[in-house]
Amino acid sequence: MQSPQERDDPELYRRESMGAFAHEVRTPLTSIKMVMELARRQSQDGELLLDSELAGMLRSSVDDLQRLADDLQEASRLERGRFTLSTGPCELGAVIDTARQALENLQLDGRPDSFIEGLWDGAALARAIVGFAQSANRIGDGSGVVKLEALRGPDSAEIVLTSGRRNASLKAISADAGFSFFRSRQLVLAMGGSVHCERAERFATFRVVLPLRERESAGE
Amino acid sequence: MRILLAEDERTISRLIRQVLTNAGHEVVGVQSTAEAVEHLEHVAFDLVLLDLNLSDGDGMRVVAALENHVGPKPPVVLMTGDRSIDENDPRARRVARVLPKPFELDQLESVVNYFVA
Repeated sequence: MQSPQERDDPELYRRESMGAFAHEVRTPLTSIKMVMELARRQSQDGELLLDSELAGMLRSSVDDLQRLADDLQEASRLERGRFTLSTGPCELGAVIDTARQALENLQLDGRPDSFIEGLWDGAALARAIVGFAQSANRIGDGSGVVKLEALRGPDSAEIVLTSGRRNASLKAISADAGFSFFRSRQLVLAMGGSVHCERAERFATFRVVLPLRERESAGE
Repeated sequence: MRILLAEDERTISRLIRQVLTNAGHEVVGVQSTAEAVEHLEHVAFDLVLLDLNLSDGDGMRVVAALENHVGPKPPVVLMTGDRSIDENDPRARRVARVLPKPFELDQLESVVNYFVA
């Protein structure tokens, strides 16, 4: 019998992803509202309308909104089957290095156990790994270090991202996993892969399975 | 008034600290539940402004730690973008006030001033 974490319920994922988006969009909106109010008060006092520090905060929050809008658009394209993958031969270690460089304040601890090459969209896969790592840290132990394992099977590659220590109190993935988790999962499904999750108090592990589709089997 | 601010979004944290410090309050900012619990064990605060989703997990851990804390228990204002948390939510009943995001600066000041009085 499948655990709640393994049950693939598209409606649950869709509902929780919208909840995550609605939640995350409120954070930059809070900053923007506060900055605008401070600027209004400053202008009433005859000071600068927007000093450089407040302008920087405003810019940062607008960038966050832009990123969320881009993520939502990508998720929408994926759901409608209108996302085009740029598939080609790529090496998993290089993809993981790209993800590692994109992660701010978060360490990916681990490397593939061997040379693993498949026909994937390397950029999309790197974005998915970034999203899973951020989410694992968020709902796992929050230590800023996510353990990574990458293994080669007979016809698939497996990437496992883990934060925290496993315990008995398993619970389902929900909106607090963050929108990045749901978008990353959609990317992996679009690549013909699957995502298996286990989550407990201060623990999360995401097992991403991707078909290898090596060159000869892909007809190249 | 000495206020503990637990908020991991840096811009929001800086803005709240700026506003409340200008209003004459002493504000200690932390970004995680672990830091918040550590501070509450060693320092007496008059008010806690607590984000529900912190970098290392659920802000309600801080509430649970306070509930088990021997000694004065400062009121907790829970800041959250989760609009499903209304007065009937069990989490709302464990804190003094819920401040839904995005909030106005006036709302924040009004809540803080309520606990000053």
